[in-house]
Amino acid sequence: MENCPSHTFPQKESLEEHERRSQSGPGGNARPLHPDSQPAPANNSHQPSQSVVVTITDPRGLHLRSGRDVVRTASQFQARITAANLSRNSSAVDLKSILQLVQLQARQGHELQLAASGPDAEAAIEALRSLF
Amino acid sequence: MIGLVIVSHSAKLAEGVRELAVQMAGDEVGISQAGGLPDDAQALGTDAFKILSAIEEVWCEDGVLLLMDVGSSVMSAEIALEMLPEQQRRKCLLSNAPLVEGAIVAALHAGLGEPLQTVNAVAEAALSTPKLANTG
Repeated sequence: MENCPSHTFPQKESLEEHERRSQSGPGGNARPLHPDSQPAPANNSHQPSQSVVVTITDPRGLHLRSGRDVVRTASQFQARITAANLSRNSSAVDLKSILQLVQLQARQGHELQLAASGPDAEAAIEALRSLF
Repeated sequence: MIGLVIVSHSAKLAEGVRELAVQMAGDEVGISQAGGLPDDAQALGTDAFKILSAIEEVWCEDGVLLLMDVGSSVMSAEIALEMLPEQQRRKCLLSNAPLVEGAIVAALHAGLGEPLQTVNAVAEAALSTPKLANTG
């Protein structure tokens, strides 16, 4: 496991990748990312948000079966949970959808930005990060 | 927990798709297959009676979702539903989802205990989920 929690983020490379993405943006249905998001401010405490960058360690990458476990875990939480593949400059996808998850085409070594927002965001991120 | 039926012209394809679906579902999801013609396992085609047996194999009160490949799979599945008693027929649903993607998604969500209409809706969302999106 080579996870790094959000408070150590932004890492230099990932931030640069994010900035490139923001400038050139894939457009279309791309959703905004907040890779540098910090714990929610007080005026938004009913919708806490949390994010983490995880590195794919499986030599086969993020495949169908490991994706199944991610979706099963994500589905246990109310929070809206997304993932973006920082290594491919992808836009964020819904982590509760197996077909969107495999769209990330995440290979070993790729960095994924997981982001959750909702009442149980923190618990969701904690549970999910252990799966990568 | 709903049941799933995989319908294909090819018995081998039906078996393979079922294999994928079983891997995505928990142990509690009943998944059956109806592929090829009854008299000759190698012959390509779909058969309403074979589909009917597959429905009965996984029948449960929560309902049964049928996933078909193309063309006459749909017709044969319709005929199979017409042969069911009304009480069972109204708990069966033909999905518009693509076979492989739909079976993977439906199996996973059936395993999460989601109801028939919800499972079908997420499976049919596969129609608008390209494989290669979001990279670039």
